[in-house]
Amino acid sequence: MISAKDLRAVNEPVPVQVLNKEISNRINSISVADAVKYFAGVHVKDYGGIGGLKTVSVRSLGANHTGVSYDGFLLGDAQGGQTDLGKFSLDNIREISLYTGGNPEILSPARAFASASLLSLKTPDGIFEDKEKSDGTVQLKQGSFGYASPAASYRARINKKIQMSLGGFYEHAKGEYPFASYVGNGAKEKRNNSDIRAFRGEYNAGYKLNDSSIISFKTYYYHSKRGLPGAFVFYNTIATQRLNDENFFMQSSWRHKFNSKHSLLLRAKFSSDKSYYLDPSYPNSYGKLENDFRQQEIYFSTAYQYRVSKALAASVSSDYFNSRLRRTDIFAATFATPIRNSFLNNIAVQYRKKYFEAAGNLLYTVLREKVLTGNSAHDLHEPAGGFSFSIQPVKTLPLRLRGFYQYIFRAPTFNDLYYTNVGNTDLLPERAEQYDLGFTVHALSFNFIQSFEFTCDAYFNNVKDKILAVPRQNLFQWSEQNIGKVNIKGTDIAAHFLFKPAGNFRVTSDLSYSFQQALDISDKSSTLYKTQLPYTPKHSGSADISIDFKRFRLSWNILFSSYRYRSGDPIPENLVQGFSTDDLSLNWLFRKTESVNYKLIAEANNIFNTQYEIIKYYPMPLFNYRIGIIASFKK
Amino acid sequence: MKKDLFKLSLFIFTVLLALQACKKNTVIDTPTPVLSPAVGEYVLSEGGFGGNNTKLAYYVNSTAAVTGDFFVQQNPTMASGLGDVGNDMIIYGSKLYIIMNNSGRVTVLNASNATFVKNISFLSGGVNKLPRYAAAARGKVYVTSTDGTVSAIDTTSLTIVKTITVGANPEGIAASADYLYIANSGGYNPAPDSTVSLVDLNTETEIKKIKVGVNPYRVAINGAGNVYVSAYGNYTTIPASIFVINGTTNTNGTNLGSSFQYSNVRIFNNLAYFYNNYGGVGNCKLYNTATGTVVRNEFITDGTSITTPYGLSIDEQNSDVYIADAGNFVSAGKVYCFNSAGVLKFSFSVAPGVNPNNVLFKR
Repeated sequence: MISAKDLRAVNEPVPVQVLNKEISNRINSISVADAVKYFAGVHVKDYGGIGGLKTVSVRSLGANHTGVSYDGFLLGDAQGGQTDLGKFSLDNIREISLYTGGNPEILSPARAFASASLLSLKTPDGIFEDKEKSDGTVQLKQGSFGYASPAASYRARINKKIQMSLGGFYEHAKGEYPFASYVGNGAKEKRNNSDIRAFRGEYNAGYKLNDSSIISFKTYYYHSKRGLPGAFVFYNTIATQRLNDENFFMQSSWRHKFNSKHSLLLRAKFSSDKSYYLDPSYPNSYGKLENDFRQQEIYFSTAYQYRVSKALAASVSSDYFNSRLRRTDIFAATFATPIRNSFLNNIAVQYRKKYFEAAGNLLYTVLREKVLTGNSAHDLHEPAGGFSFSIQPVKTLPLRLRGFYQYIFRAPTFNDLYYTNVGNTDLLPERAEQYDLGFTVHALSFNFIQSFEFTCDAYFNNVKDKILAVPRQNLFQWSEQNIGKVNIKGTDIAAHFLFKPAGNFRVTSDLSYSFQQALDISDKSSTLYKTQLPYTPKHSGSADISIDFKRFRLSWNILFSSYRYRSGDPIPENLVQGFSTDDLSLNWLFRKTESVNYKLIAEANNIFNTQYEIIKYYPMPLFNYRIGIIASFKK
Repeated sequence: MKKDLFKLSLFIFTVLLALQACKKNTVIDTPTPVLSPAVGEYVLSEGGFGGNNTKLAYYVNSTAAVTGDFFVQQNPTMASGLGDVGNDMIIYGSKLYIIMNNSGRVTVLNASNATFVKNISFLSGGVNKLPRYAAAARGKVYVTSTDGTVSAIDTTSLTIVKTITVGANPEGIAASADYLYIANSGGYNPAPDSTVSLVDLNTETEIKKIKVGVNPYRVAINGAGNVYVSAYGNYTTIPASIFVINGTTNTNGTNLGSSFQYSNVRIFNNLAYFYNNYGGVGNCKLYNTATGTVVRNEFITDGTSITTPYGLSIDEQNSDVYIADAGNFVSAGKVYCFNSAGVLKFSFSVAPGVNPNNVLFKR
């Protein structure tokens, strides 16, 4: 996705893909996970349904290599290291950006440099642009499978200095969607136990001391209760497991520009996450299994930028965070109860001229861990870093060449280290290298094409010491080991067109395509040597065409994926069929007054009623719809 | 994913107690019935948990031809296959019983050609009883279920006629002339169990619990009626073990000792085959239960390498030993046939079967 007004996608030395509110209105999505499927190089593991787990892997590096930030702060999950993007509804997201291989904004926390890809989510965070007034939205959506979702937000400009915003969102779905059964004659069956109820509330405040000094504060609360339908098991449709999540955080930052040379960014955050899993028919002596995990993080960051000249800037940032995980269930006494202290230091340099740009960073990470029970992980001292460039060789030709190299790692998670019978405290970090070369084109106004942007990147990645569960020698148990090796070759292509064919018509189109060859090279003697990683299609892509006419907008979205295999040998038994889905959406600004706009949204998803799956035996929904009304007001 | 692995680790087994059924209460002066040579082997591959890829393969001895999905070949209207996690199988009378753990049923086939006869449901009251292992006695097939019960299937009506309450999370089961011995693993509890339930075949009720190693798993009975129970231990501080119960007194078992850290046991002709289905400490130890001596520390004598011995069966007609190799748990499994001297005779792949756990003989 490339936004016409936002040229980061074509100008930045590292690949940046941006989805702003304008674009996300065109694609039929409930959650951030649905939206990022339209990015090139991204594979979303979607277990189906509104409440189904959805994680994102970029360029086949695995979900643990994707960092997710919310208004600039990383969402830390030391336990599993993967963020379920299904938990983030799109209603209050104003921008989603995906950075691969580096962070072009050098006045950033060290943590923003600490992953192979960074998915940045931005909300209307309470900081107003100069001329904006107080505003708000009220919306109501309803759809198939018992889906209903009211949401409201209000941003208040108290005075020139103080602004605040409040938002609330609730979603409810029975989620019992029909699908063609895998057994018998393929008669319709309903997905069991896939209900969800979720609430999200947010409060933001901004205080502008002056134009160059802003303090912002955010508090966030999310609570969800959902059923876990599990894989479709032949001849046994019983599903009773439940998952309750509660996420709370408070975060604050102070951005201060001393003068044209010196800038400072201070940040602090506290977060508390609860996850409660229940299997009410687990055959132990209690008659049920409860896993109750509590995670807390305290985070501080300081970043300082020095602008040497108009073109050259350097930054230093230091982050400290303390993450702890405990259990409050019957396994609490034997659980490791780890506490991790992370120290990240980063230096970054950026040289930026109109026709040439280069950037580089070095990151040094120290992790120290303590546990209450058993062995703790070894201390970790790891360097990482990368560099990137972008050049426009001919000033009159809007063609830029770009490239980057990055060496990065992901630390073992608490689950990797301490999971009962599986965890291994001797684990090393999983290391990844990314090489990328590409070009971008940005052309304006020729004939009826208003604008045209094109990006194409070829890349080579390798992953070493990939953390995989394997049977451990001499013990009758599985264990996490650093044994995986992966070689990835790929190409990501994205294009954006804006046409104005005639009069009131405006046509925008976004296309993306990815080729990925991700070969398992862990073990030469294995039958899986040099086979494609599970759930990694060679070809995937998306297309979106939107037509704006007066107060109407009609959009058509297509997603496609070639076949994949689940884990195991590449044989028909393990094949997951390729698929494509087609969605239509219609937006109609049906009433417009000076202060209030009323918009009607109608979405038809999977219009050809295609039965497909992303994960084997997790059927995706057939045709479904959503309709909604959004009232936005200003005063 | 982790949860699945954890579950998988709970679901790791193999067995062949059908053979015990034929062997029960061997008395010296009773001639052993003469078996005709096997014409082929059925191999059950349980597949991956949640993978719905349980396969019944069939190997023809004379032609070495393998049919990887013999069940679907013989039952073409049942193209979706056996289902999820085929945990065990047993031939009793003219029928082949396949214990489908995660699909929650026992699928009954004709033993002669694997054609479908009936499904017996183990789903009750919105809960899967999670059937595990089977043994046969007195015209019934007894199936352990993780919910702490043993179900008695009448082999004439093919219905469950009695449910016997035993200990926590029973696993392996074996039948002597008068009793059923059932390993109570307690594997789903924070602290595992360490007992064997003794069930009287006359009353079909549990008489007592016999103490054995921690987390007992499989049970096998030798010619003298003594019961060998393998146990997993607690995977960390307590190692696997083999306990022996005196089949006359049925008092607490005795530990064979620290050189017998095996999670699986199979017995034929008083020879016990101890092995681990997680690899590690060699493939298989051969032990004479009559003399109490180790015959060979490693059964295999020709250097054949097995990655993950996941099932072991003995052809009672010629004492050949079949070892099922689960390899890396996701690729196609293999079966190796050895003569009694531990020399490889032949091997075959059970593709697309994954995690083969049991070999039975068609005669």
